[in-house]
Amino acid sequence: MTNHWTTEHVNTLAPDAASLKNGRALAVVSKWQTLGQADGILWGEIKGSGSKPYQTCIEQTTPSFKCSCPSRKFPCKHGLGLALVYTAQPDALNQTDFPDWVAEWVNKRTQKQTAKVSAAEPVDEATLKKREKAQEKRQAARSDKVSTGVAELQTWLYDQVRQGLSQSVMDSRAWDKMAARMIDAQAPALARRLQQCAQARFSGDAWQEKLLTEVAHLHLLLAAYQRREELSPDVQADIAAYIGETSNKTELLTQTGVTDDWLIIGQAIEEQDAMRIQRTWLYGTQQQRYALLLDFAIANQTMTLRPAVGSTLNAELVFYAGSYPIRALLKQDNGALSVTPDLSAFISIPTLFQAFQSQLALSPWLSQFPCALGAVTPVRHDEQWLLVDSDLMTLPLKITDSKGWHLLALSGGHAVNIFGEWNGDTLSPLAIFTPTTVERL
Amino acid sequence: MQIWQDLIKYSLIGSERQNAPLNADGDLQAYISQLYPNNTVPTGEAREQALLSAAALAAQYRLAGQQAATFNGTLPVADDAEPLPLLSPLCISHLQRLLNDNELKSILPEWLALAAIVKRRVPFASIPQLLELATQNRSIRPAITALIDKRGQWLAAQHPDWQKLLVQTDAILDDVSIWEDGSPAQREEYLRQYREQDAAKARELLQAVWKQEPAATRQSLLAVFSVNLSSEDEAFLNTCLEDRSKGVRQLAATLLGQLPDSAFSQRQKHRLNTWLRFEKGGLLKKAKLIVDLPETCDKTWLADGIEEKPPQGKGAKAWWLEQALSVVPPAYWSAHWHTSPDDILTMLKKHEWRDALLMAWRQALQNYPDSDWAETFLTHFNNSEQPLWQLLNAAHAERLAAQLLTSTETSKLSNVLPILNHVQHAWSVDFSTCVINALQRHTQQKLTANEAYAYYYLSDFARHLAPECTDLLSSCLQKPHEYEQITRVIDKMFYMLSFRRDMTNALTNP
Repeated sequence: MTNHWTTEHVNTLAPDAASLKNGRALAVVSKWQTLGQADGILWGEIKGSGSKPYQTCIEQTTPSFKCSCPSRKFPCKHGLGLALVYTAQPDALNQTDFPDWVAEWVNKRTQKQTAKVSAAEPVDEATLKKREKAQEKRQAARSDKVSTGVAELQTWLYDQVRQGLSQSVMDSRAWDKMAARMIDAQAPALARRLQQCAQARFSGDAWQEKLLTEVAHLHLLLAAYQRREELSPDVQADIAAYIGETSNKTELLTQTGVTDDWLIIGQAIEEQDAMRIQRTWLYGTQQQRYALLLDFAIANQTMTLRPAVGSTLNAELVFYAGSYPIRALLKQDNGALSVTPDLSAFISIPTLFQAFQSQLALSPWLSQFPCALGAVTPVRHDEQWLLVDSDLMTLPLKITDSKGWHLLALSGGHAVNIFGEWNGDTLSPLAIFTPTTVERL
Repeated sequence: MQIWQDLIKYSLIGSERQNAPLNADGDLQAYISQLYPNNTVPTGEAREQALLSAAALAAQYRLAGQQAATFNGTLPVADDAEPLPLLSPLCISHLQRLLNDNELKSILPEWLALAAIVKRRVPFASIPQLLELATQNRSIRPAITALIDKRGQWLAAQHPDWQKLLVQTDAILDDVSIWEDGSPAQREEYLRQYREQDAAKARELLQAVWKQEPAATRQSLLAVFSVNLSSEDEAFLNTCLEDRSKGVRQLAATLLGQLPDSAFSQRQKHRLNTWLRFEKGGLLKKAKLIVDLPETCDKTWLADGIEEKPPQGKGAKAWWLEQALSVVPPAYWSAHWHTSPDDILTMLKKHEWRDALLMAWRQALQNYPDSDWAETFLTHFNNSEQPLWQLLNAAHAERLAAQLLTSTETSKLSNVLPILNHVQHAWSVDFSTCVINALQRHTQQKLTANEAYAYYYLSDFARHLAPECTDLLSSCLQKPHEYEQITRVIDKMFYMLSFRRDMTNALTNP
């Protein structure tokens, strides 16, 4: 089992710029007294301010870090330094036998994992029933709250349309207030949609169109919620998700999942207020289906680490219900495979349109569609960024200029494979697969 | 789609103004008509409900029916050139640190210059960032041009700001529009490159537009003539001596002074030789400089840029001497009198024309840089004068600075150390050792808070010290120092210097 870590990947692991900078300063072989690697574990000893050197080790698959230094940063500069040494000069990690302190850490980890599994063992039936009842009660209370909220929002929205949206969106405080009401009503996703509607005003020339589309989708969602009992379980699950109901992860993880070799095909990190959201897109090369892992971090919390884009992971994933089930949880990670990326996910532009249309028929609120395009040439034309295929079909890109030049530098006018998120109008590219490399954008 | 326009209209102005049901074309109509039973607009909330449902239908219909547009431009020709081999992963990680770490940014030019000669390229992904830096700094352009290789040139050709940066002079010179419509800075750059390639053509280019340019532009463009200056430029420069602008006249005189055989230079030297007479010293008598200045101004001087009326506070004779002397390279005098700059300046110690002569030679030194003369000036007078340090060659500067360091008492080093910041070239190992030893002596002293604070300005030493001295630096400077700011400066110096050592090693031992 080998891991293909890149410097780029290590950079994303750093909790902040200062740690990364300090880590880089330690990424020099000569600073380390010992360096070694075996079984996906990297370790090293480096002199610190005390008499004893700090002992640092990294388990690569998760990945997880451990260091004897007192830093509260995670991973600390020593961990990052070690990881950077590994990416630049893997041969420098020349010890191959675990020293005692590494062996001890590995043992402890294995024990902890076993303990975790046993903790999940069932309790007696009476307690279980009690728990179930309490759960049902909470569910009902919540459901009431949401219903009231939805009805209130519907009436409010009709009022806005009656008086005219152009006037209504000028008063953004009214929309913010309504959004706050939706958070109280435990429908946070509705609150976000309201904010999107209010922000549509600033979206450029076609803002009226954008605003109407957003409002219409919101209306459709509210209407669907009102008559949800008549709809299929999948659509009900969609509605619950789009309203912002959370599902029980522990329960979900008890289900049998889908095991496959998953190619990490793209990753995006987005900031929403004080929260960072990480979307990791996977493609199951045997099942030929996508999966999306969502991770959240608030303020300076460390983001969950996922393997680098371009690596392949054998893993069991459990999918959330829905008419287009892609959101998933990682149930069992069997480690990374050392294979060249399987590119069967990459399709042509016309095929993408077809796939998107059929999915749209099932889930009308679909706004983020994983999109892997094969043999397309990134082009800058009339100050617009485009992908063009061999039949001169185009797809507009949603990309900053600096990323656009980056993309162009990597592709050099050649047809490449691009993965991104398609929203129906534009594609946000996240990764480029050339014959020789895989790079995040 | 008409219905979409109607929907936008009613939703924006308010559905209370909608008085007719909506209609759509084709398949959509069947669904829309369900929202408007009996072909009438419902009343109450049902009206808004119908409008929004119709909008949802139409939006979805549009989205699902979308087709890819066809490209109507021309595709750029792909970059098919065989790329140079890539730099080693270690070198690439150094580059990434240089680009992202503010403390290391000042070292980037050094890395670029070293990396440009190893005949390897940077990763494609780094090209845009390097090109962006090239727009801000001209001196790094040649190195960047080499490092970004063919792919970088391919990319730059597509970017309006980047295409003119690369050091492909032909390509730039082909674009006459830069000369005709460019900004003053761009035109200056254009002319400079032209001077490098074909000095005569560049002169003709400037002559053609000379009359119509404003004075400031004439002056800045003429300054470019110092590139490849030759006697062929003399005729044109002579006409510039009569220019309306004083700045242009002075510049022309300075340039002509640089041509030793020009009629202008001959005239000035002849004139000065009647004013100044050097008497060689012997065993018993000291050398002497006899200054014999005319009492009245000769109108012919004006043609050579000597003005009659002195500025306030200056004597007329001294003023004439200064003006004439400042357009003759100082080296002429030491050669002409067969004596060293040191002897000349010694001779001036109690000379009655001392101030005028010194002022004039100082100016002449700026016009015609001369390492020997600059060193002599620094040893005789104020040794912290930065403009003079800049005129020294590397060996002179190190010799002089080392002398200063070793001859200064440790307690007075605070005054000398900041001067080293004027020594801007890469320091030799010997000199670096000397500086580090001085730092060691100094930091072990009892220092005042002000002296400790002044260390802030010394951290730049790490940009010049020889990377081979990294270990010496860390062994000589004790940490932690009693003053925290000194500890910080030592840390920073060590961080930069060890980085420079690592990057140099990585580039030279691939």
